[in-house]
Amino acid sequence: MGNTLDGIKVLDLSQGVAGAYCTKLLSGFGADVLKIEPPKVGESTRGLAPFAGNKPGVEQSLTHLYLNTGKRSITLDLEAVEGRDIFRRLAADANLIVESSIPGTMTKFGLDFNRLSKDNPGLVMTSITFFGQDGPYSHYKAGEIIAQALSGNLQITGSPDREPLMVGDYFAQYVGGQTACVSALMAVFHSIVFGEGQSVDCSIIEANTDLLDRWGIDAVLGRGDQPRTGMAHHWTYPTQLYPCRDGYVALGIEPAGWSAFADMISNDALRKPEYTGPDRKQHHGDIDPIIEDWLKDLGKLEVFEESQKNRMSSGILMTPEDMLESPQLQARRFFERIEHPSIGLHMYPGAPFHISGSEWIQTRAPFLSEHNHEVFVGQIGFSEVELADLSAKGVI
Amino acid sequence: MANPLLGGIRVLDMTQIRAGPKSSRWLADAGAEVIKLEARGRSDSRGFGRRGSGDTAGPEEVVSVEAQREGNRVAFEQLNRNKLGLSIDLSFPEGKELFKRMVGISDVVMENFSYGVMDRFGLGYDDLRKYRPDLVMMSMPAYGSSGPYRDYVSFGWAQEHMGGITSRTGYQGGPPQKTGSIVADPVNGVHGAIAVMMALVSRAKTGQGRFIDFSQLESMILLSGEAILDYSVNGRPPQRNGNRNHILAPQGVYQCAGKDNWVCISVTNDAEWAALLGVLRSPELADVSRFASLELRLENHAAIDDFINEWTRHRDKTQVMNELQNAGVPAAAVLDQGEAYRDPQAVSRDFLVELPHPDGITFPYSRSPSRFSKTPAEVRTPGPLLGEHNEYLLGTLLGIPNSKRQRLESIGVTATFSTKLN
Repeated sequence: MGNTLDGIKVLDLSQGVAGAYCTKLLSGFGADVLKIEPPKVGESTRGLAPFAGNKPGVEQSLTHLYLNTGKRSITLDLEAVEGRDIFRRLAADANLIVESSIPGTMTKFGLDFNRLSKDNPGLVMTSITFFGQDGPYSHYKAGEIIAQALSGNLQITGSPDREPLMVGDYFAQYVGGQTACVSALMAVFHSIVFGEGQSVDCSIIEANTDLLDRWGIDAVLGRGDQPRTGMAHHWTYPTQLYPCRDGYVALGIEPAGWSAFADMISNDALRKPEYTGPDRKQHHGDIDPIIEDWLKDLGKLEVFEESQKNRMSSGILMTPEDMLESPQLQARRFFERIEHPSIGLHMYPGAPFHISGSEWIQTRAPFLSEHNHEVFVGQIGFSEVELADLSAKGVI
Repeated sequence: MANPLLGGIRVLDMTQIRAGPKSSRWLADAGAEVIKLEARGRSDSRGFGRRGSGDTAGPEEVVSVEAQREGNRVAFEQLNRNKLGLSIDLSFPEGKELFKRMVGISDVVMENFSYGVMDRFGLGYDDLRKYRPDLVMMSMPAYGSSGPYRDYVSFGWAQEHMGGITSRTGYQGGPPQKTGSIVADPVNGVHGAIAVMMALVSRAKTGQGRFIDFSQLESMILLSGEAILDYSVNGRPPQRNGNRNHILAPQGVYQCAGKDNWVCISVTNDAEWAALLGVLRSPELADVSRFASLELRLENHAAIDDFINEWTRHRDKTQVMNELQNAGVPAAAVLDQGEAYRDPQAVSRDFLVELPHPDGITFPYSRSPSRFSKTPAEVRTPGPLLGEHNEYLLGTLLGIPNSKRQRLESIGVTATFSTKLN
């Protein structure tokens, strides 16, 4: 029955992790994603760490290699009038444009939704920016840590005795990319069913505030803000990360409960009546050493399997090495090996979910301008001479 | 009236706790008719004396039962607004029949029971397709529908650690830290909504349904792709860098006036460094031999942090943000959760909305983080009471006569509650 997004044409003008993650997911399920990059320098994920061999370079960023799988790359200078004309031609038969420019930029270029949709009424244009298209901060500078700070997430991560802590690397921007993806798909669905396109304004910061769920609204209702609790769950105990011999265990004793836990670690000291009730956390100073002593000689997988045998919801902290060796992920053939001409064979995470009858497509990320000839000559119909001319003028 | 974003789509939502309801909330906000299926004694995290949302409660609670109920109610409202309430007890044969008839008029079924529960009920995808050949169905157990872990139990708490994001979250040289909002469930929830939308886009074009096998573990790992590649290509294990970044310096979180108030600053290039110096007016930091390049600033980061802290610690975090931003330096007040909904940006975009509730109070909700120009995704109705819409769903839609519905209610196949907390 084919891939779910077969035939969906996407123009990806976005810069950065959020837009790239959004269109990676679309490409993975069959959409034709054309990545439109500024000539010479390319799109900004190409400048993001980590780099192969720790050497920065336009084709060296592992973040770029991961986020741009399955896409084609062309270069186009939208500052140039000819570049904009070419973009308009491409937009005339696209289903979706994803962009992330500073609000107002697309209008300045004459490439805003109202202009482009005149020739293509079903077009969807999704803008993914840190602040959204309007509001007093919309022209403030932002980045990963700033998004985490303004969304309310930074304040509640880390130790109560130290400064707030950001979640690793590009987390907030991934969440923004997810939001852009689901929203773009909804608008594309609407366009297919009802024939009406529209523009969609996604805010990375709001997408991250939305992660707060109950805690955010608790605070709004005056029930107090969440404190930072380090490695421990806010209130259930001992739902906590503990060190073990070879890493960390994410202990969680539901659904079997406390007495099953005491049975599992065979320690009668845990059976004190005051530990079984709702005040258990008050005794963490006595209980933690027992748990830590039990764990210090045990391997994480051992604890995980034993917990699961006893119907406890524990997990472990998995590093990439653990993931690559995980029996579960191996049984499901989760990881995929992809060849890159200069960097070699390496491992990529597989599909985020499986849709019956739809392959997960993850081919090597494109080199900058790799598909210029294919698109400008093969698809748009420029001659070789015109192509050379565009290149000489720096339009592509 | 114009067609809603997902006009004409009906979703039978059996999910519970946080990740699944978050998925279906996206669909409900977008105007799909999302029907929350519950049963007496098996309602989802409302606090009917049973355990609450999975990442917030255990059989033995530290917080009071009342606080738990109220807290769960907040979670329930956030995740289940815009949905309709249907109660059917599937352990009755009549309950299963009602369910199958509902499937017959639905487009999507979503569930996050443990692996195999739906099959044991005789309600797996192949069974349900008999009643709706073009059905889209998503099953989202923790570890997916195959593999040695498929029967393992898990909640969102464990998944953020299994999925690897917390291995890169921690102070330099320190242990991993949990994320503030326990992010795996909401992250997986959005991926789940993406999966359903992909299937619906395809169905709109081809008329064919799909089954979605959703592993919460695998979905979470997608957010660690570059760390997997870093290990695979460079052999480097995950790093915990605190708030620092090896291509941006200085970057950090700095103390401000008041208790637990902070500002973060992230300088991305030399021009922004010059702008920061212009605001700080520190002769020491102007020392080009120590701070003029990214490499030097990375080397002398601790010294820079001391100077910045000295400047920020008696200042108001919002004023620091505005002053630095106006000078062209990326900076942000570290907002607490209430502030995140009430800062000028959030207020300007009406991010927080309020709805009157049937039991007499007004409840706050956060709006969809996406704004659609023609088909707005608004918060329209509060979370449903248990079975609140049984009459519409079973009577009007399925055409079951009143007398029969009364009999089903009296024998316990359906249950209609009139208040939230009883």
